[in-house]
Amino acid sequence: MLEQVAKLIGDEIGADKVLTSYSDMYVYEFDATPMFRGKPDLVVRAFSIDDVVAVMKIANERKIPVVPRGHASSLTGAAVPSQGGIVLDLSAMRKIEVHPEDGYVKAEAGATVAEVDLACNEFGFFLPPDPASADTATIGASIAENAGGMRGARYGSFRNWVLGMTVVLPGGKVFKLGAPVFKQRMGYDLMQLFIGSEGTLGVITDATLKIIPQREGLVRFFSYFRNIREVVDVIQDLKRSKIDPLVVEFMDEETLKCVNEAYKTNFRTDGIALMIDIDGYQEQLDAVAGRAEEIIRKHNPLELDKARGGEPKAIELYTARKASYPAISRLNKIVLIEDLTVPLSKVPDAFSEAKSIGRKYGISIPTFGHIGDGNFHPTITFRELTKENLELAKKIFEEVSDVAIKYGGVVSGEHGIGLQKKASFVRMLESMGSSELIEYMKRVKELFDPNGIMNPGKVF
Amino acid sequence: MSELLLNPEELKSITEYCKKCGMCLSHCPIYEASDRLESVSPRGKLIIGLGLLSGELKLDETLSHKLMSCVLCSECVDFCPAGLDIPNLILGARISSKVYEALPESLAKVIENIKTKGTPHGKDVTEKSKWFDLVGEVEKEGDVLLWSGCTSALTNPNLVATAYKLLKKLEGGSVTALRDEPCCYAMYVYTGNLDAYKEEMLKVIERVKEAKAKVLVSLCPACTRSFRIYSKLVGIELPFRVLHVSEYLHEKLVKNGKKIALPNPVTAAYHDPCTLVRGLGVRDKQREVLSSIENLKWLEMKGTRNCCGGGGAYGLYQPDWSAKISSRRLRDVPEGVKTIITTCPTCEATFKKAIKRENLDIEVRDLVTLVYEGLKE
Repeated sequence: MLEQVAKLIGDEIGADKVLTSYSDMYVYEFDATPMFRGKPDLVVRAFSIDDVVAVMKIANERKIPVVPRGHASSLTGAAVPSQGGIVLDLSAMRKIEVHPEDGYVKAEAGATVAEVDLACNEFGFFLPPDPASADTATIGASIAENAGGMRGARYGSFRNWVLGMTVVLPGGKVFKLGAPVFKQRMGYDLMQLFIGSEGTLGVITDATLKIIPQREGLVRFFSYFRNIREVVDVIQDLKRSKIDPLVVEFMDEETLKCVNEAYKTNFRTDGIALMIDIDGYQEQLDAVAGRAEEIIRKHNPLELDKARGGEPKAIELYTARKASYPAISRLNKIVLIEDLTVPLSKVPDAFSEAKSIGRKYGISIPTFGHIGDGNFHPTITFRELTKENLELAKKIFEEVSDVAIKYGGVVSGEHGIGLQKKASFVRMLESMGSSELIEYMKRVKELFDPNGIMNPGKVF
Repeated sequence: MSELLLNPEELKSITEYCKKCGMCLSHCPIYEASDRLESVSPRGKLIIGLGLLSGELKLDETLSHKLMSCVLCSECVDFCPAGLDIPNLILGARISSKVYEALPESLAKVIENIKTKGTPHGKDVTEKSKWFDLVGEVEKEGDVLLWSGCTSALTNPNLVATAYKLLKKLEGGSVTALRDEPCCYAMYVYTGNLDAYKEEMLKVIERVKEAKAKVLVSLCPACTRSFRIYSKLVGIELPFRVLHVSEYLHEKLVKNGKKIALPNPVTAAYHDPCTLVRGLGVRDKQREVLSSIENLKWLEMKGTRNCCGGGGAYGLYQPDWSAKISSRRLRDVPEGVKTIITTCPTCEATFKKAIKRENLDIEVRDLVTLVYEGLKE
């Protein structure tokens, strides 16, 4: 039957946009999660909204699953066609229009976050959310996953920056949601439903995002503290002192060991590294940075280094933090990254408990992340890829997820639920006494997607 | 730049470090030229390679096409979080899956050309000797042997003749070259046939030995890699040194503090051949040579790392996508600059085609011609 569907879609939008060969299906089985695979029945490469509309009409009539896909850098299995069907590859839709005069950028779904940011930089603006995967993560997928990033300490995740979007619903109906203005009241804010919906409601084909002027300067501090509690104390003290850092990141001892092993560096491994960026106008930067430095020093760091943005030292320090995940990837074949987010005051306990689970199983759980907003990534690692290791990794993953629930947080801050966190998501809702919410979500889905074709099996 | 892995188990084990994160995608010229077709992206090719190694996929012409869709530029390598040498893993997958047994037609034709005519371009090997007529006598033996490579000799005999005269001038002694110079057979490695490569390379080495050369100076980075790296892969120890011409010029000019001055000022952008800079790890020497030339103001291209589109003999295989890449690369020439300098005959030929196609007013020069001009009395 799907041969017939492929032909129908091909007749509508051009046969060259429809892939059916075994090898093409094979490469679309994956995303960046090691434990999930699913073979699509066909892949459609959309080059325009008309292509998307055609697919959504045909798929809906025949109740064929549709999995919208950008660059599949998802860490939760969200882009895996676990129930077959059509993978709708949006990566070739990548037009970008910057409107500096009105402070927004409009981008098609397949443009990468880095491409959009770079286009804004040419006009002296930037896009605040900065997922670590910005080089590859696409705008459509970043919105569908409500991605965050290092600047989340101040700017939060994508949700805070989307002003409008175009979505195509099953059946081919096109809706424009939101508007390119910073204040908007349009009844129920249905646009927000699509942010973080993980492709389960419809296909986001373009988005309008608020952008802001680039800052003039930056001072980067890189310090080490004896334990996580001291790190949190520093962050809380900074905030009490009316300092609002742009970036607040940390790497624990095990992460630093991985960086040293993978890159032959010599970062100290007897403490927790804390990176803080203070930005601002040139006239005020030294004063604010000076005040921040005073506060950091007051907490007796084991070591404190600093550099101004653009200096080689600043790049080196940033590279060290950015190297966390790559270093872990270089050393381990199984890397399951958690995405716990708890209130800042609970981070020390949650962090320690996550680490103790690693010790219990005798494995390494290097942990790093965006501590400024309580979002951190205990990373379950195994050097070798075996079935046994993968099964154990999954078990440990669930156990570590529960730590976020215990401390009143969430199992995902920025990566999403996908396939990987479905079970812990349910446990989280149970712990909140809100299990029924899943039913409400299903009813919302039904409204937009009565045939249940959109990325089925994800989230719930 | 890591070692090319030949043991399938080892190859599979290393490829398994790929997390499928896709950080390589945005840095692949083929992925861009294909309007982002996953199966020809670095990640897609690694997945296919792994599928072949694990037995989940069986080689056919479609898979062979995917695996061969790579300019081997190594642009992706620095962006792989797992630190994988992706082109080498793709090359390893080509070798272990014997991709040469199911080559797409256009590539099979290239191999056939090498077998029957001695060059990949479909021209007879005797045509490679045209440049001999431009220099008078070429010595039959000599300490230094000029290796032109098929592309230089067939598309730009004047360059080879200039290189020969330059080497003569710098050596002050005997410089030899091979009449009807054989192919370097890198194409056999690209298509995964190491046995055929070894058999032919041994014959090539005999020809160089007959010329009594102690140093082989190659105009072509791909030929240099074939001699220097691929020969080791099949267990051949070369009885002579192999230098790319930029390394040779560095030894002769920069190390000796020799002055070169162009008669008239030239402003140019320098394009790095991928095979030279990332395949062979030569990054500074060619720049130092350029900087030593008086009256030359040279600039880096915007995006210093981008490929011209011709790497890995890709222009012979998929001229359409190769053309897209080269047109894209021309946009990296800094504004107002009318000259591109490079030090690779394939880059030069690829650019010249693109410039003609785009109707641009830009000339392309090899480093050799600049140095020769600067050394003229």
